[in-house]
Amino acid sequence: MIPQKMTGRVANNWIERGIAVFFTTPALTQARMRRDDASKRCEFVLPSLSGGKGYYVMPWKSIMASITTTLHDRVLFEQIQKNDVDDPIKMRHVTLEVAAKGLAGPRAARKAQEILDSEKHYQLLTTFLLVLQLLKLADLPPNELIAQGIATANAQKRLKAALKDVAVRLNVPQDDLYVRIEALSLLIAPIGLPHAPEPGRLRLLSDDLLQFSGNVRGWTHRMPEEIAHLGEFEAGIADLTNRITTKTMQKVFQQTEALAAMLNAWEKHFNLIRHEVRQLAWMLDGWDYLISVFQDAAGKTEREREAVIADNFSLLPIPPKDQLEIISDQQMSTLSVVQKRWVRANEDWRSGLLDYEQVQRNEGRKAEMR
Amino acid sequence: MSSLDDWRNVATASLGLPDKRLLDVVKLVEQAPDRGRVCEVLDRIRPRLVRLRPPRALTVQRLLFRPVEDLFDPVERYRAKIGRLSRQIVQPCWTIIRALVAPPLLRRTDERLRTIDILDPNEVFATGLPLWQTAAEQLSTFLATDAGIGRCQVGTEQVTITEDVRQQLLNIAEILALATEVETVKLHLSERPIGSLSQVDIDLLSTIISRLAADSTRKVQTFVLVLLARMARPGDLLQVLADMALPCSSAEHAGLFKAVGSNALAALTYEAQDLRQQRNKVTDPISGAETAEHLVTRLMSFERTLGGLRDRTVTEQIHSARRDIGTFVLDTVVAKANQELFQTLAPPQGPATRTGPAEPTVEQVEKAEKCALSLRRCARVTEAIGLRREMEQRLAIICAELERQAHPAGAEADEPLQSRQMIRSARLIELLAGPDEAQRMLTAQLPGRNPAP
Repeated sequence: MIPQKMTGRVANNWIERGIAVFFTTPALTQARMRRDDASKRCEFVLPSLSGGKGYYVMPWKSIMASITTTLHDRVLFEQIQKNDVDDPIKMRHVTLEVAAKGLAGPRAARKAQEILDSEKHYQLLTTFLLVLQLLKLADLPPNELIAQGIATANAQKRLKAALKDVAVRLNVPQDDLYVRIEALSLLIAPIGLPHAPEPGRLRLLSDDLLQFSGNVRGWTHRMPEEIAHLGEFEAGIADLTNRITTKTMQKVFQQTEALAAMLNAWEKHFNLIRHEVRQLAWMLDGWDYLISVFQDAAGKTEREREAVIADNFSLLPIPPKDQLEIISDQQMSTLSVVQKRWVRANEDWRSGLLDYEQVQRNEGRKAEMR
Repeated sequence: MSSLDDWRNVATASLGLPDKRLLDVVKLVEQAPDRGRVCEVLDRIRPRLVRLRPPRALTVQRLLFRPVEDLFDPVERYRAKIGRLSRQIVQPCWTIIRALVAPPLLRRTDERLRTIDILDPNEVFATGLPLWQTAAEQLSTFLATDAGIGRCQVGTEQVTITEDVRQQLLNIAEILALATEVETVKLHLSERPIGSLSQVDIDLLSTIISRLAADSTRKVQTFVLVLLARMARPGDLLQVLADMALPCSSAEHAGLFKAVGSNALAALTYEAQDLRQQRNKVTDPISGAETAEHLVTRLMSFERTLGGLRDRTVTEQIHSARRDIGTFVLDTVVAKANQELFQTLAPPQGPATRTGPAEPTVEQVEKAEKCALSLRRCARVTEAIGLRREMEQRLAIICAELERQAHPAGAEADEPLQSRQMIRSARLIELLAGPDEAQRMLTAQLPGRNPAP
């Protein structure tokens, strides 16, 4: 059941906050999709529709009846429904696949295809690293295996023998072992392994939050008080999100380090990791867009930066209340103060025609996706 | 490098350079002593410089012409007797003023320009004010006493003065005499083109206009004409002038309004006429559509404000400008955009690659989409000037061709290629006719595909 009401700006839980959707129609920018699992009914929380304070909550049918949406957004929604998207990881995948078809322009298509390919490679790398970790358990030095060339018949034979040995030691059926490793690598690829040569996507995003908050605080020094407050709040939420995600990632890393124990008591550990990775994806959902907008603002004038801080305040992915035992009452009261001060100019969405210059800016942001 | 041909070669060669290199060339050319030739080069690359907006070094000469710069027209577009200035006037005017103004003032101004921050308008204003005032006085005295028609000796140099040159010099002298007012207003109002006037802007303009009107209505006319050239919708400023209470008779007020309005409208009419005649010179449909859009915005604002005069000449001027803009858009910009769009997307000649038939690159697709966007802009322009049906017919033909091309020859077996081609066409149709039409095409071309809700 979709909760009908959001308490102020802060949602009660993830379902109530919804998943950020990378639409290109200006009025739907970063709309959040809330979904009722039982009835599969979708509704969208639109922060940038009226330009005023507050949100509009609309089902897709009403959106189509009242707003001219781009072809990209129509196809994206169709795919969201078709794929039963119910979390940010699936949403990202569907978004990239639609963009890769070229519906958000040629540049976004090229970028989306690059991302899909590189994520596939990264998952393969993660599988490989996990296998190496297993080989250590069988006392087979990976260097020796690599030196012989992993594709040679001899090496393959030794590899199989070693994995069989590990399976016996862990008391896991040999066929299951590889299936589990595959499933695990698919699950943790968005974060990556702690000893991977490059961090995974969500880990990078979490690190970017610190840079984001540092930049925004740097800008707010010379800004008028009301804007400085908004900026300070945005930086504060970025820091808070980073703290929570860093903790969650540490939990995942502890699990993957103790690989043997994990493969042994598979169900329990796997579910735990799945829960943590999903938490991470939810926590960081919506930040990639915001970070990209603020990175662009770095090269702009002070006045434009003020506008960026004020205009994107409504898109700030504030963690929901059930994740916020850490947030203090004082922070909540700050929020109500800044909310009162936040006034946005109305956007020209009423003409009914699509502003393709703005659509192109949104498509450009897709072309910079990471 | 001395011959005119050499300079022209520089201009032509520079046009092929990337932006950064072009700006380097401009910097070098500007240091050359031969101003006439420098102008020749700059005139040729000016359309690109307008887009690049390079920070230009401020010389004494450029500072002198700052209050009048909004009235300059390119030599080929200049028309006399409507209060505009030809770029050709710069050289003789500068020769005269350099001979008339005391050298210490020119030297002092030059020295100050080297020390101040030229991006700070207040400092530039303070530096320019003594120069503008002295130049205005000297130029008026010169025109009143020494200057006859024909060749004229100024200091050690000779200048040819025709009726028109004399009139332009008079205009410059009048504007320079109002430099304080003109530059003060520029400091307070937004950058050119000024989109809209706030109440604070209107109050400031009213105060200045009232003060000038107490002196003479001629000063008001000069002042307003300069500002009209800075407005995106000049009619707004004319309306301010019409609504004000001026310290003169109502007949004088009406005469002033009509004189300023018809001068500014005449300038626009000539601009539109030139645009129509330029048909073969338009190389870029995007800037062509942009120019037409700005012109129509200005024309519409004139129509709103001057329409009430019920003056036959004004009505004719408005109609002729509409006709010229319409012809320019339909026959030049739309034709050019259409041609470029299909040329860009045409399958490259030559053998197919190992991975299948050759496809347009990302850059080519983007270029085609820009052409489609400029056609969309043209549709806005034609709607405003009553040529909606003509434009719709042209767009329908383009969309039909795009729909036909959605199925490339020889791609039946290659499903991904076919799908990419279809989406490329669908996006272009979306830009031209809207997402509903694009969705209809996509649904029709993919049998069995569920239409999006």
